Amino acid sequence: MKHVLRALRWATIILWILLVFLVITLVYSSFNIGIDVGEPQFFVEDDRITWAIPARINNNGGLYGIHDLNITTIIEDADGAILLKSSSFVPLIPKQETRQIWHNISISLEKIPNYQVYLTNDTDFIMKHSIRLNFGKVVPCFFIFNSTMPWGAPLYNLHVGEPDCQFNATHCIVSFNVSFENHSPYINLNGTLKVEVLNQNEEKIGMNSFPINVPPYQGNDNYPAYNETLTIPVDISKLTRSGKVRLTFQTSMFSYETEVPYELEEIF
Amino acid sequence: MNLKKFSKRNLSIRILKAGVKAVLVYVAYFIFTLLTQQVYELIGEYSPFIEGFFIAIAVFVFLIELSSGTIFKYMLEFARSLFVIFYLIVTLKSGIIDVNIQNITLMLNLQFFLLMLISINLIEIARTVLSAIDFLHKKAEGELQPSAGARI
Repeated sequence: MKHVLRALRWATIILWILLVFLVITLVYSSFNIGIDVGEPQFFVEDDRITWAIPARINNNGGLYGIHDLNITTIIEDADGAILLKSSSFVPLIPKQETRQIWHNISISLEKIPNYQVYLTNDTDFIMKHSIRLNFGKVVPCFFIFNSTMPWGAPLYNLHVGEPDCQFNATHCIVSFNVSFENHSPYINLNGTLKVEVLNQNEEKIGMNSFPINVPPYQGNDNYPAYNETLTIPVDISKLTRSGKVRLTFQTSMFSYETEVPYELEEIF
Repeated sequence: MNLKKFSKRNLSIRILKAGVKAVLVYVAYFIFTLLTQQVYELIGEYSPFIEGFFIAIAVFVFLIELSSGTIFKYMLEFARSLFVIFYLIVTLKSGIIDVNIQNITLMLNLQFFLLMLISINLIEIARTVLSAIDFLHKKAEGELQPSAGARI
């Protein structure tokens, strides 16, 4: 009995020493981890905007490796609908080493559900970041934090004026005003504005394309704006009293279509 | 029980010894709070539980020392180990704790440590039970030698 009791006492003491040693070294190591998050950079490619967030994780003073580091960003709209999800995974940052990682968040506008809403309305997106890691394969940790990302609409306050007709012998010239502001700091609106005039029977009776080039918002109070009066010659023989004008904005990032009805007082 | 040995003088000495040990537990708590001052914001939410834990341990230490040399000592040691196991399971929410610091939510999975603490306390329970059996055995055989301290 005496030996059994002594063995149990020693087992307890050894386990306590191991536990205390583990706790002290883990706490010490965790305080020696350095994380430097750099300035996010953004790149505009053909059809997508990419935010690249650099992070330098310094585990030089650590006694344990950082395993299964997973950084996830979820962007939601104001109603909580998930617009996109992006993840970066680093299998291991060994002890006494430093790793540079890039967490990329890439938005392709046309892949966002109901993306047309965000072309004409400013909003605040909610960015939910989560970091999951397993420290020393002993302590799995999970961090969550939220931030907001203001979204500037590239076609903010899009206004299409009432179409007006001016007649000559063979044609009618439909003219109307189009105006909007580019609130997006990322999107350079460089493309074409295709205008089609349709009669009551949905027949195309006139068409024209106009180049648009509105630079991104630079951060001062003056939003880059587009304000033009567009004119389209229309075949007078097919012209009906009412119809519609279809406008299609075509850029490398998105395509947006809107229609405006017209009503003429008289037809020659 | 040998009540003749349970004199007023011995009782005072026991209370004094038990008191000193309980104070030592409080000193340990004080040192713990000093060491964790830097991360107090992290564990601030859990400070009432930590305080409660140290108070309970101090009470146990006092009672165990007071009942030293009796079967109650082993019963109290057993109760202390059980208390530690259940208290840790409840306060550490089965090993997964979450802490909110400003805008950041941190979740820590401490199940490994919880498992280790439970193992240590289970070994402690086994040791206590065997010690109690040994104590009763020696007492039954009349081998229990009275020492300087009072014995019941």
